[in-house]
Amino acid sequence: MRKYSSLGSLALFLGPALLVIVVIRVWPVFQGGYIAFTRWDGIREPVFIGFDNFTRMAADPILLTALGNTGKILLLAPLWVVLPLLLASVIQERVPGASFFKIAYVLPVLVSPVVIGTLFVIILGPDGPLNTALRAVGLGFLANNWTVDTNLVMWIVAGMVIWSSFGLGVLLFTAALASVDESLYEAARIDGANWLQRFWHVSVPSVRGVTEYWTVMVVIMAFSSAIVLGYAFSQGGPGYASTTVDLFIYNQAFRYGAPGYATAVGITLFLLIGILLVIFLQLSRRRGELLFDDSGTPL
Amino acid sequence: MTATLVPVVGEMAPEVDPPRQNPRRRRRKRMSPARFLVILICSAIAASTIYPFVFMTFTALKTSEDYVGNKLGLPIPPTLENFFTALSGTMGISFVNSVITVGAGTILTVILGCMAGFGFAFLRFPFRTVLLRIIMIIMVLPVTVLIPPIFKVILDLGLLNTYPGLILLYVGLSIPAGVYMMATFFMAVPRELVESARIDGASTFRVFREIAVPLARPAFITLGTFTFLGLWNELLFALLIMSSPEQRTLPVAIALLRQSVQNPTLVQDAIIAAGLLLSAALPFLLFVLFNRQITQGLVAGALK
Repeated sequence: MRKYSSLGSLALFLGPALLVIVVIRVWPVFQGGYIAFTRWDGIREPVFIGFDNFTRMAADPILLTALGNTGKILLLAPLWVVLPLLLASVIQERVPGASFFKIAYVLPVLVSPVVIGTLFVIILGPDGPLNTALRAVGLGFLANNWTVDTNLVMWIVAGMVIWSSFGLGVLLFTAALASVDESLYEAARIDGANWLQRFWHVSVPSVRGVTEYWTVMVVIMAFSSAIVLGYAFSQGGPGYASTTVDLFIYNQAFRYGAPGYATAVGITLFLLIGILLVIFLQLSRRRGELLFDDSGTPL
Repeated sequence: MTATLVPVVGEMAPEVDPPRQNPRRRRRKRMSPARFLVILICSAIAASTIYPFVFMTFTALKTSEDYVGNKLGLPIPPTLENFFTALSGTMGISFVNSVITVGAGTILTVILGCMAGFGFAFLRFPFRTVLLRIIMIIMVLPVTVLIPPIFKVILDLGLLNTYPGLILLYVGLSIPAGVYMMATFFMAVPRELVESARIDGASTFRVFREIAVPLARPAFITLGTFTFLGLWNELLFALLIMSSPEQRTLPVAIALLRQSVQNPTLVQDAIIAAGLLLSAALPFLLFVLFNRQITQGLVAGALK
């Protein structure tokens, strides 16, 4: 019996997809690793400069601001994980309008971050509907120049990031909760557990796998989904007040003409997230192990 | 909104229900203050996700004068003028560009993903598990921090400012998820289906074409919808790779629409809203059509 499939079928079925993955997803990592040690203007060939980009990185106050801004999004991560789980638990209780809520929460997920960012420029504008509404109900003193308030703008962007993606979490958690054995809730109820106790002792442990998955997604999104929102909403401004680290990389590369430096920052961040992810996957390995069925003759 | 706050009362007969559902049903009859509060909070959150899109639609249907005069009111009488204005610019071309690049990217992702997924599930080769695991990690890691080196690859390939360049990139963005999803789908297919065809002497390609592809039709819809939604909303690469005005995709056109209005005159808001609505319409439609498949696809990914 042959141990492996023929080279011809392997090349036919796996070749094209793997080729694209190598060209677009793997090769840039290696190339980035090289560019990080060069001065590159984006047009001419990169010039090797050793560790210059990395020493520059260590002393760049704007990068520090950008990391701090991404940090603000990460600070909200617990809310980002817990809110969808709570909402999903409520929906699962079949409250009136449950399925309506589920669809309502998914709406922002479907729309491009560009659309959301642009829409909120209008809504939060100086004479936009939010300020108009505040003035109309006599809360005019709360009206604010939302988009240019340096202290507030990053929290608004962070809020938009969560607002535009929590519906995905609700979808995930409702599906996960639907597969939890109903008799567990029944038993808890007979023991006199109230809603919060049932949530904490039955729901939360039952959906641990999905919670871990969603947490990983949230952390990845914190690093990658603010860029378009920030770009469309405030262009990272005023100043650098809403520049997250991914937008920092983009702007350094394509606005301020330092793609070499931007690549150094990007590749450092990429490797850091990659290492954390691999460690996490190793720790949670007991679940989600892929199982190939290798019975019979190979094709 | 208020309709959703009305509790469902009285129309069911608890005696007929299976016993284990009774506690929940009974609970539903009386609305405790805590329960009312919870529903109120849920409704407030739902209002926050719905209202911006309602506002967008209303604004798009108003004349500019109407909008300036009354920003929050209903569009009476509604007008389609803003849509024509938005489309008469470069936006119509952008819409076509988006359909071409995203459509081609989606179709290629589904085809290549299906083939590679089949390969992972049914072909045997060394380091198969490790390779699929690496693809899964590639799928999860953020692309945004690697935009400069990815841009250089497209530049080096000489594909800058070309449709194939953006399409190749779009396939690259979505293919790891495509392969992973199709691999897990095919791994759940019963072996006997393939074995019996094998005994009849069918070639690997015939097994793929005549057994795997028909089986995978529902998975195509899930993967296709997902890929389309993701790519339809993509801005950053489209902005870099297709820079000339006649090559812009819709998200790029929208991003520039706002920036072109340097002095934020309210007059433009209605036209921008029309453009936003045009861009959001297709994803909304897809979700309405494929709601079930999208949810299933999400869950399948999460539970793996």
